[in-house]
Amino acid sequence: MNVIGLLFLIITEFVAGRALLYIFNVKEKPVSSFMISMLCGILVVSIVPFILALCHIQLTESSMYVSVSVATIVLAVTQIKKFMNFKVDLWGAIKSVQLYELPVIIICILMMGVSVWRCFYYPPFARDMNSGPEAIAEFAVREKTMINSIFSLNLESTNNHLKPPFITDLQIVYKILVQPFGQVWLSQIAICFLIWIYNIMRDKLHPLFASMVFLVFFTMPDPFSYTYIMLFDYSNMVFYFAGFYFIMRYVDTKTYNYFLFSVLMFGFATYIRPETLVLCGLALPLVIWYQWKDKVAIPRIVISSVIFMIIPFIFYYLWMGIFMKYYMPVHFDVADRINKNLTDLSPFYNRFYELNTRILFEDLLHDIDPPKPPLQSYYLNNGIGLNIALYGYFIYMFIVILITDLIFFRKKFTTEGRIALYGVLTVYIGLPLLGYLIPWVDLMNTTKRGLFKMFPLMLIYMRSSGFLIMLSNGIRNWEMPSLTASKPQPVQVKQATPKPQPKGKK
Amino acid sequence: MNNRIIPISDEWDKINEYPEHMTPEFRKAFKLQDSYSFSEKIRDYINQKNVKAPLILVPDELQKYAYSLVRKANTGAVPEPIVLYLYVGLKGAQWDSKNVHDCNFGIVFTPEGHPTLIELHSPHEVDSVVNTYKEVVQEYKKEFNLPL
Repeated sequence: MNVIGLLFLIITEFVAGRALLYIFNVKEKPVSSFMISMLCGILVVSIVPFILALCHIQLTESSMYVSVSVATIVLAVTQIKKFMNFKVDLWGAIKSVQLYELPVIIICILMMGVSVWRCFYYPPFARDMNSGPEAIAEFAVREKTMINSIFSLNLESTNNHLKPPFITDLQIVYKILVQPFGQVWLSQIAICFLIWIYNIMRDKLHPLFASMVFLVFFTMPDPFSYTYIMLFDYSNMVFYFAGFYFIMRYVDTKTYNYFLFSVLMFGFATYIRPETLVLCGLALPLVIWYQWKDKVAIPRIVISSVIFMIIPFIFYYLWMGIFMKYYMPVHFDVADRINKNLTDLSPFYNRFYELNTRILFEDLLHDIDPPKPPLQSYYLNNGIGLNIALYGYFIYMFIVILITDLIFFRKKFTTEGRIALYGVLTVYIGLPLLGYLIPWVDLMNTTKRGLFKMFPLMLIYMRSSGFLIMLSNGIRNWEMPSLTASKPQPVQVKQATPKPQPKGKK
Repeated sequence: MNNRIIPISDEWDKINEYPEHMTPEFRKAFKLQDSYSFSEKIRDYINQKNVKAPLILVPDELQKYAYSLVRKANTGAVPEPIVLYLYVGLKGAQWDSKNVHDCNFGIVFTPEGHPTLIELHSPHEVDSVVNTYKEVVQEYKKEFNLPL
């Protein structure tokens, strides 16, 4: 493994991502900023080979070093003043770790250790990769161009070579600069995302509860396995979640740059999986609603809505409209893949029904409509529901917390919680909708992994759950009664001071 | 939880052995198993035969699925054309490929369900293998009452 190449990429990714955060004036806590910077930087790097290919520049080690450096410098130069004042208080973040979080943190580190090792040691082995992005990347490295001998083969068996360049590009960069199997970028994405989301949880919940719910989220078998099995869905989940997180920040702070940054995140998610564009369309009413509620002028709501859809569409069009049409040697027309009989809604209902009975609640509903041979019921074969095998008890934990909130803490529902629930709904409704619009979006592959996008949104809902916040406050009161007892005092001071202040000023 | 943690602890136990096996070739053979080793065998055989433009006829996904259900064949070892090219640099074709009649090798299954490579000397022999693939699909559809 080329450690220098990896360090070069980590540094450039951080700088490029940090510059993006500066450009959008996104201010988060130090650890979160660091992780979001890395995630954005990886996206920036993933676009580099794509641009080199469009410019017909050879994909070599030197062209990679130069082009990644140029992309980073171009972004960083615009924010040079902010970089001059850059400080990272990582020590403060490390000191804030509490003793009772350590067991969970240690478990997560051990499991991620295995994940990182597998990611590094194993070659890419998912069928969708080896029959598409991985094959193109491998021969791109050997032949120094993305249009390589792969396109001279008989490709009737696959459509994976038509998938967006996100993985192909990152594989090219990492194969050339880091190690023969590439893939290490996936560990970077997973680690940064997990640290980021854990920090978000800790911001509102007591670390004990934050770590417990995070552990259930982290140990979901299927999403965990995709921290080392290279596919599109984990990265897509990360950026889809980021889009919703920054909508929350926008609604909370009323700062427009957060809205723009959330649109960029949805754009990145669409770049990774183009069908995310449909889910972005489902998220649009949320933006319109909150702007309407905030009494934003109608023309501005219209402009925001256009921006919200046009940026993801540009990412979609870059691949489908430009690269596929004018660069790739194979013909692909999306119209050929779209359901021709849109008046018949039965595929939507069927997919929604199957999503619930065959996947999400298979352990409860397996008797209702068992699959016909040669398909077999997972429950009957294995004795546990497919949902438990794939996602553990995370979904049930979410449902229990949600129902508790609905019954006992209805008045404590926050805007953030509502946005998270809306996000969950976009995936829950959006995936059957995709199955209806695009028949090749199948149940047991695309839909099953598409569900990943729901889980971080379910998790972030929990940080604003009235039930968990009550438990967190209970523990905080028990831990430090003196501190919590003295808390009302500054509030009283704040309430008392406004009256004399204007007199003093006058 | 046990199912998730125990395999991971096994992995930690093995970690001392890994540094001895760091070559990409070993790692590929270790993880990709049957399909990679079968592809290597095909390459070695064809290299021995010294064929200039080998093209290998392979069953498509439906045909492999039918073989695995009806004949209990080990279809997991048979790579699709693009994967065969990725593993060992050999080109393949399926029944619906334009150049299917240029195939000079084909993959068939023994009665025990093991994949094996045979030489094809004429378009007629190619058609014969393709027909065998199609017959198995018909058997599969009949067995499970699927539309023919």
